[in-house]
Amino acid sequence: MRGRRDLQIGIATIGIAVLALSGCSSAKSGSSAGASGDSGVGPITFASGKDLTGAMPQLIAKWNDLHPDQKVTFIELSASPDDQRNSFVQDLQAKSSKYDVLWDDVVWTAEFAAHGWLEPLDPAQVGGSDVLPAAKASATYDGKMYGAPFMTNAGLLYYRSDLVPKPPTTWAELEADCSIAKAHNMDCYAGQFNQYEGLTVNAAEAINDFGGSFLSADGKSVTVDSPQARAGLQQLVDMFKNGSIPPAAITYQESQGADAFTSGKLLFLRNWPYVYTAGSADGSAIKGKFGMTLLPGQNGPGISSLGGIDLGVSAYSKHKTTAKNWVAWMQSPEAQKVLVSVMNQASVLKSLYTDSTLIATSPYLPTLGQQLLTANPRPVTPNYNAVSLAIQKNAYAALKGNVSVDAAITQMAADLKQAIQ
Amino acid sequence: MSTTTMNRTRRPLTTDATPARAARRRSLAGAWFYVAIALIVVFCILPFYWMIVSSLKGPRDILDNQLIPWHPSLVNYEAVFGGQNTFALALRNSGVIAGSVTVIALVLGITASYALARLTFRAKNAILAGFLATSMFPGVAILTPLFQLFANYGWIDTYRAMVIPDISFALPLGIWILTSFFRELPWELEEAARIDGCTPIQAFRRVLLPLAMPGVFTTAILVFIAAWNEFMIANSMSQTPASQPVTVAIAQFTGVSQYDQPFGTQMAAGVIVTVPLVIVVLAFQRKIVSGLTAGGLKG
Amino acid sequence: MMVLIVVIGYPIGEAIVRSLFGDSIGGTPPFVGLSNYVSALSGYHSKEFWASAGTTYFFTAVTVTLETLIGFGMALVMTRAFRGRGLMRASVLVPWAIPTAVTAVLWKWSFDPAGIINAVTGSHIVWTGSEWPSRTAIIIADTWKTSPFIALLILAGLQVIPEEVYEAARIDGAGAWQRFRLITLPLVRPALLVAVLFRLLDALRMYDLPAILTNGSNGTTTLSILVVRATLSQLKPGYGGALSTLTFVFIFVTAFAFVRLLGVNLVERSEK
Repeated sequence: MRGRRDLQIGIATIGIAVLALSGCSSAKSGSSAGASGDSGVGPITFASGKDLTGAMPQLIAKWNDLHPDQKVTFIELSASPDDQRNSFVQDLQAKSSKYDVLWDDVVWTAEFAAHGWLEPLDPAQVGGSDVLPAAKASATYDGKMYGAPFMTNAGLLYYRSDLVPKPPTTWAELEADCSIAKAHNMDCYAGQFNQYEGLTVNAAEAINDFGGSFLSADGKSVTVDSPQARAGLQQLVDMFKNGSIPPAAITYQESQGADAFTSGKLLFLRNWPYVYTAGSADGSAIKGKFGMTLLPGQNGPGISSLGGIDLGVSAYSKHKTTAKNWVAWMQSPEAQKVLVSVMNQASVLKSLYTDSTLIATSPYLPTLGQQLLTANPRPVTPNYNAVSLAIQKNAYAALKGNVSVDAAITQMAADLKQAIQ
Repeated sequence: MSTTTMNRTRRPLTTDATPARAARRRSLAGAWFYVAIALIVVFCILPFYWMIVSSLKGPRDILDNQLIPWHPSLVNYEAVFGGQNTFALALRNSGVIAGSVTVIALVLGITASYALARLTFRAKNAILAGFLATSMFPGVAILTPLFQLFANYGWIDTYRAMVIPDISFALPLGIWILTSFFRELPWELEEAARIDGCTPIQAFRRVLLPLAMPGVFTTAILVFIAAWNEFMIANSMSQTPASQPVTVAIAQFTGVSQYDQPFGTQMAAGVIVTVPLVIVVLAFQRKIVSGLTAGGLKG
Repeated sequence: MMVLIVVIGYPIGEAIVRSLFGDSIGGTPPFVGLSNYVSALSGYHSKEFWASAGTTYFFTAVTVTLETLIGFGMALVMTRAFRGRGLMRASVLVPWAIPTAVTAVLWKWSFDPAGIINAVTGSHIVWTGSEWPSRTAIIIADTWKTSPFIALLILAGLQVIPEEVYEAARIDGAGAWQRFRLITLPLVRPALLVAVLFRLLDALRMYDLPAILTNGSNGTTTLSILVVRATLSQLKPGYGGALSTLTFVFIFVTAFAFVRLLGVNLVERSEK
C-alpha cells in the first residue's frame, strides 16, 4: 500500500510537472489511481473562507471533471478568519473528518501542525522551485511542510501619483514628501495601527526593515531585545509624534485606511493589493491618480510581512491521497491563474508575476512579485496568537506614547518569552 | 373583591380633593412629563435612526455623515435578501428557535416559580441560588465542552443544539422574575376560587396567572429577545443555512473584499430584524392587556 | 428539566475539571493542580488579570448605576396613561431588541474618528484611540442598549401596584416625592432588585462591546475578553478554564453580597 501511495504521488507530481509545462487542462494529473477505500483515494471535502467571486466552484468543477471518482465537495465557511479558525478547531478537537482539506491562514499552520491535526506533505509535491520561498517557509514547521502554499499576499505602498513626482523608497524620503500632504491639506501616511493582527503585521515590517526580528528561526527563543528592533519601532513612533501619521490612524484597520486614501484624504497608504480595485473603480476620487510601489525601508525598499493561505490536509481525513493531490493541483499554474484572474488574489508561483495577460488586468503584479521575493513570514510558532498579542500590545503602547520604545521592546521580549513557553 | 382586581389592572383617572390646585400642579408636572417622554424617545431612537439612515445609503454615500439620506437606495436591503444570502430562511430559523425557547422556558419557568413561591420547603433558597449560579459562568468557557457533547449525539446543525442551551440560559432570569411576581400575588384569591369549586390548577390559571400577567409578559419579551439575539452558541452549533439564525447570517455578510465590513448591509439586516420584532411585541402586548382586564373582571 | 441540568451542568463541570490540567500542545494534558490559578492570581499574568478585573468592576458599577437610574425613569414615565404610550414603549424596546453584534458595529462606526458622532458634535476625538474616550464610548453604548431591560422589568413591577394605595396616600396629603419614596420604591423593590441583579451578572461578563469597539486595547480588557483569548484564540483550555472559574467566583461573591446587603428575598413575601 505504501508503495502504491508513493507511486500515486509520483504520478501526480509528474502530472503536475506536465501541467506546469503545458498549462493544458486536458492533461490527466493524478487521476490514474482507481478509487478504493484503503488507498486513501476517494471523495473529499474542501473548506475555504467565504468565496466572494465564484472561483472555488469553478476550480472544483475542473477537478471533478478530471477525477469523477475523487470528487471534491465544497464547504464554504464564514468570511471572518476567526470564525473559520473556530470551525476548524472545533471539528479537529472532536477528531472529526468533516474537513479533508482545510484552508489555513499562514499563521495557523504551525499551530495546527503542532496539535497533530495536519498531515505532513511532500515538499516535492507542494514546494516546487517556482513557489515563493517565503510562502514555503510560512508553511514549514519543525522541518516539514504542513501546508501547500495556495494564496499569498504582501503589503505595498500606495501613493498619489498626481501629487508625488517620484515615489519614496525610504522612510526618510517618505517623511520629506509629507510637506506635499501638508500643502494639500491631506494626511501623509497610514498603515494599520489599531490593536489587532494588522498592527503585528505593520510593526513586524518596521522592525524587520531595520534588521530586527522577534523569534529565532526554530521559534524557540526570543530575539526582539535588540537595538535594531528598537530602531524599527522608533520609526513608527516618531512618525506619530511628528504628525506624518495622523492621530486617527491609531484606530485604523485595513478598511479605514483604504477609505481615507480612496476618498483623497491621504497621500501614502500601506495596504494589501486589494485597494487597487476600489481606487481604480469608476467614480473613485483617485481614479488614475495613484500608483503602487514597494514599501519604504531604512536604506531602500522595505520588507513586507507575508499574508496568505496554505491548504492543509487533515490528519483525520479518510482519503489523504486524494486530498494531497488536490492541494497540489490547487497550486498548479492552471488553478493559480484562476486565483489571480477570478479571485483577484496573489499567486504563490513566481512565474505568474510576469504573465502578460494577467498584468494587463492587474498592472501592479510585477511590483507585488518583487515585494514578495523579499517578504518575511510572521513568526512561525504554534503559539502564534499569544505571540501576536504580545507584539500588538507593546507596539500599541509605544505608538500611543504611553511607554518609551525601549521599555516597550523590553516588555515585548518578556511577554514573548511567556508566550512561546 | 372584584373592584380590587379591576383597579389593579385598569387605571381609572384619579379624582383629586381640590380640583383647581391639582390641575395647576398637573399642568406643570405635565410639561415636565412631556419633556421626559421626548428625552427618552430621542435617547432610544436616535442611534436607531442613524442605523436606518445608514442602511439606506449606497456604497458611495456610506461614509458621508449626512443626517438625511438624500439619495436613498435599497441596495443594502437587496443585498440582504439577494444572492447567496439565505436571509429569509435565517429569519424563519430564528423565529422557530426563539419561539420554542420562549414557550418552553415560560412553561417550565411558571411551573417552577409556582412551586417556589407557593410551596414551602427547605432547599428553596439553594435551588434559586443554583439556578442563578448557571448565569454566572462565562459562556465561552462552556462552548467547547458543549460542542463536543452535542457532536457525540449528532446534534450539531439542529435546532435543539441551540434551543436547549438557550432555554437553560433563559430559565434563571425567567424563574427569578416570575417568582418575584408570584410571591406578591394575593394568594387568598386562590382559596376563594377553590371554595367556588376550582381545582388548584384551575384556580392558579384562571385567577392568579392573569394577575401576574405583567410579569409573565415581561419575561416572555425578555426571553424571546435574548434567544432571538443569541449569537455565540448559534455560531458554533449551526453550520449550514438550514439551521442558521439571523445573528449568524448577519455575521456572515461580506463586504466587497475580505477587509471591508459590510456596514450598510449589516445595518439593513439589523433594521429588518428589529422592526417586526417590535411590532409583534406591541401587538402581543395589546392583546395581553385586554385579556388581562377581562380576566380581572371575571375574578 | 434533567436535560437542561445536564446540558448546562456538564460543560461547567468539564471546564472546572479542565482548569486543573496543563496546556502543553500535543499529548495528554498533565495534571497541574492549582497552578493555572496561581499563574492568573500571582504569576506572570497576574497584572493583566487584576487590571481586567478592575476594568470589569468599573464598567459594571458605572453602567449598572446609569442603567438603573435611566431605566427607572423610563418605567415611571411609561406606566402613566397618555396618548402615544404604545409608540413610546416601542421606542424603548428598540435598543434592547437590536442584536448586540449589530449595535456594536453601529457604535463602532459612530465612534470612528470620521464617524457621525464627531461630525455632529464638531469634535475631533479619536474615541477608540485612548483610555477615557474608549471607556466612555463603551459605557454610552452599553447604557443605551440595556437601560430598556431594567425599564421593562420595573414597569412590570409598577403595574401590579394597586392604584388605590396611591389614592389613599394622596388623600393623606403625601407629595409626589413622598409617594415615590414610601409607596413606589418599597413595592417595586422586588422587581427592581431582580433587574439589577441580572444586569450585574451580565455586566460582569461584558464581552461584545469592548471586543468590537476596542479589541480590549486602551484599558478596556474585561475578564471575559481574557477568557475568550485564552480559550478560543490561544487554545489553552486549562488556563482559560481557570480564568472562567475565577470569573465565576468573582460574580458569585458579588451577587451573594448584593443579595445579602439589599435583601433580595424571594422566598418570603414582603410586608405590605
